[in-house]
Amino acid sequence: MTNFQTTKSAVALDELLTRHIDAVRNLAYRIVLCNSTADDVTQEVFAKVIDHAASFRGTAKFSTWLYRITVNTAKEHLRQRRITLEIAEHSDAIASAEYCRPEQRVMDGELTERIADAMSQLSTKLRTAIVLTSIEQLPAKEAAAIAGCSTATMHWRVHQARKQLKKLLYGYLMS
Amino acid sequence: MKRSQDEQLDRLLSDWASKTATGKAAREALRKAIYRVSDEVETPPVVELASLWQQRRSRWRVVTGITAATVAVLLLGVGMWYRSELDPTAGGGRKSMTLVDQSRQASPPPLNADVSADHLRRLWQEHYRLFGARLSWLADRGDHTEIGLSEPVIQSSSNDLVGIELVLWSRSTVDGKWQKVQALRVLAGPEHLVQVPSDEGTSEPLAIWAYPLDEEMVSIDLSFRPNLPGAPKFNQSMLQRLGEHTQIGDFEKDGIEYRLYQAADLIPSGKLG
Repeated sequence: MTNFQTTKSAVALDELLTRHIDAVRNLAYRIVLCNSTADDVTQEVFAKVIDHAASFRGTAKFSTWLYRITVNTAKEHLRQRRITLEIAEHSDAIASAEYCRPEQRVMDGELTERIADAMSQLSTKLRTAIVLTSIEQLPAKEAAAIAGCSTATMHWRVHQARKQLKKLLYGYLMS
Repeated sequence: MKRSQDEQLDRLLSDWASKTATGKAAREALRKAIYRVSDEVETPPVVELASLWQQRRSRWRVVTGITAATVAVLLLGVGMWYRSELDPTAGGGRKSMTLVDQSRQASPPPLNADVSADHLRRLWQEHYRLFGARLSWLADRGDHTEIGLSEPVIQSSSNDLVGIELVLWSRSTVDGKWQKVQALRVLAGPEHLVQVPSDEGTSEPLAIWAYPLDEEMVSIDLSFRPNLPGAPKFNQSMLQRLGEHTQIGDFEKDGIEYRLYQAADLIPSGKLG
């Protein structure tokens, strides 16, 4: 990142992308649960990183800064999608902004879709919490810094998310 | 058992994450897209100024187009929301009504939307004298008060406290009048997790977390089981307008109708003295 801040060169950007594009794209998908939206979020995140590279002071971990931008951008996209869906419902028009259902990827099968459906039923806050802690394996304190909440709140959100997911995925946990 | 389920859940989520991770083709397509929108990247000296201007203009055209579309969508959304606020039948939040005929009330009487009652404020001030900045939250059940303490909090620029009132009403099948069954008022700093131990008869604490937002709104996460045997548990994550009371759930038990209402308010730090 420091290299990119200094030189803004194509080589530096390439290195930045190589290191972080997968992490950003994966985090985005796990929050928005839609491939096309995740792609949009990823592009927007790196556009912001490029535009605001000078504002990163290096006082915190770069990954925390990057993840925070990703989480906020993903939430904004979800909010926009909800507004668009409500407008489509009110106008009784065929929704041109289709609800992006969780898509199956490499492994087709009931389980993958079931997990995606369960995740989609969590609120954005709870989903973000479980993604940052259980999937990204971040400590609660760092996850809280990314999500913009207290550590106690993060613990509570993770607890709530786990409770809901266990209910929704009960059959798979018992087997 | 619980630990084993937690581990199984973690494994499921981890497997799902692996299987839905970014593929090579998607990664390369994203790279190209990011390079296209990036005009901060240093260009080779041979690129003419005219083509640089075209790149910058096309990017601004895209950004301007996206911004205009976003603003239009937001304005439309605000218009729809405003319409629903004017017309109660258009959906959205419930508005309670107080009928003149008290013999059969459609809804409970309005809560005191001024949650920041004087006595609650006084309670806070008294406990603050004892515990100082360690005082994290306070819960008034009417007949007794509970408090939560934490490590001293670094004062942020906004020290407003969030007041939340929860009231459970029941309606008699005999006269149809609403009666207050259970009431709880909570005062807490923003984003302070409130966990009030349960009364006897229930095993789960009440948990509330609130965060003030702009435009007279507050975000509230709530986990609450009324103090009634067999009552359901309410898990809510919602936006609450300040000064309004909102029905957040209802249930029926033994032929009696119950409704749970919530109201929220802010106490500016200056009023605490």
